Amino acid sequence: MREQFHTEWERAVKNKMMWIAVFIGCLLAIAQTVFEVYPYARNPLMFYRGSDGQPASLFMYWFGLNSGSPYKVTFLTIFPVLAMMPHALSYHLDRKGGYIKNVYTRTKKINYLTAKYLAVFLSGGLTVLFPYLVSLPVTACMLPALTPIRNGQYLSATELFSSIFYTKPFAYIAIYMVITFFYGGIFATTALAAASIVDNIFLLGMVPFLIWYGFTTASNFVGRKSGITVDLIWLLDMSHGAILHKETVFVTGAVVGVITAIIYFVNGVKSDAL
Amino acid sequence: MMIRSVAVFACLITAAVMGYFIRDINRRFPNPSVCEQYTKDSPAMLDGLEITPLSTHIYSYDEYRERYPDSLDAGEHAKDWKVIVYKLAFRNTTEKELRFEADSFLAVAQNSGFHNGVSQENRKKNQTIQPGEVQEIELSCTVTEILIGKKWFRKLEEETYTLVYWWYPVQKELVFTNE
Repeated sequence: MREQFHTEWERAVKNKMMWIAVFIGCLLAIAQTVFEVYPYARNPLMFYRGSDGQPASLFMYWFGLNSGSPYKVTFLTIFPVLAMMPHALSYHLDRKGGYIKNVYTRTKKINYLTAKYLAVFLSGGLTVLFPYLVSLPVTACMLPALTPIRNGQYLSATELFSSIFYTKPFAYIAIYMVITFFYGGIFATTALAAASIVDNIFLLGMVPFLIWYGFTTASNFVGRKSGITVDLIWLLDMSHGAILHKETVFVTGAVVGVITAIIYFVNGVKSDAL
Repeated sequence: MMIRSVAVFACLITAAVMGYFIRDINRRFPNPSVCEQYTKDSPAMLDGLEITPLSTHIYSYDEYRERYPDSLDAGEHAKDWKVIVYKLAFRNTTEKELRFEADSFLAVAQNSGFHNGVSQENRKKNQTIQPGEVQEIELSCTVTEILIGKKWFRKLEEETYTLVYWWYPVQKELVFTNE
């Protein structure tokens, strides 16, 4: 199993698609830094008066926390595509190309399936994390890390993790990075589950995006009466948190993860590759 | 092997340079180290206006509308709201007419983290105060369960309310006592 995982992991990280996905994500983060952070970085106190709130700070303009930034919204919209790009289609390609037959002669099915799942999960999660990890220290060099103040510029008192945000903002960022990592990994694995149903590689690549955007669309109907939001673009945005039904951000990911894992493993074990 | 060593060296140099810039920016713009609080016994001074926080009073929405009939009617969905009215005294210590705007203040509750803007009663956008004149002004702020949380909404009287009017480099706030 360890050897199999090592093989799959090497295939994932040495895959040029991973680096293309990382490049696209980092390009959005760097563009946001150049066009939205740099103008304030030249002088955080320019045009500022003490009654205006807080001067420009890291927790106001960083890529992950900049409310309403078109770069961040674009990143969160293409999030599942970036997560899928590194290695998620490899299961389909292995089945079609006959590689899987060679593997099954040397190792148990469950070992291959597990190694594949882990490699796809980890590579998908890391790919979507890179833009945050790259832009955070760059922005920290330009803007001071002023502890957020309760003045309406940031989260309200009842939003998810707001008490952590106002006392330990870096811990807040770390929590959301972990959530982002898991969502990236989970949505990359949806292509693994769909591989047993969808035969066309292009459609297969769109499955994570369709599920992701399906939640956004469903949220318009579900949220009207219940106040529950399942809009993942909203839930993963660090600049605001859920007020009602805060557990949605965890439950949604867990449900998708469990269902896709069950479909993938059950179909994978049952399928006759030889 | 050579490429790996160069890459590691480059990463270390980059980290060191970034560390220098991060330290420098945070040294030049540190967090406010002091919060100046002003009370009834020690009033604040803002651009020539001496401001004394007098008291706060918490009304249900119906009580508030009865006491201030000129206030904006927020409709049926506001019946569960509460309104905090802050009473302040302004004294013009200069020899010219001064203006005061409610937008300068933000209502902040110390324990729950609640915050909201305030508006002036009698729907005045701003007020002029003549030299030497003392005026009592009432500012109001709406509180809902979503803004403050269920736990604190049930015990609003136990909170400590402030009006913050200056944020950086020193935070300045007026501290009120509940009536």
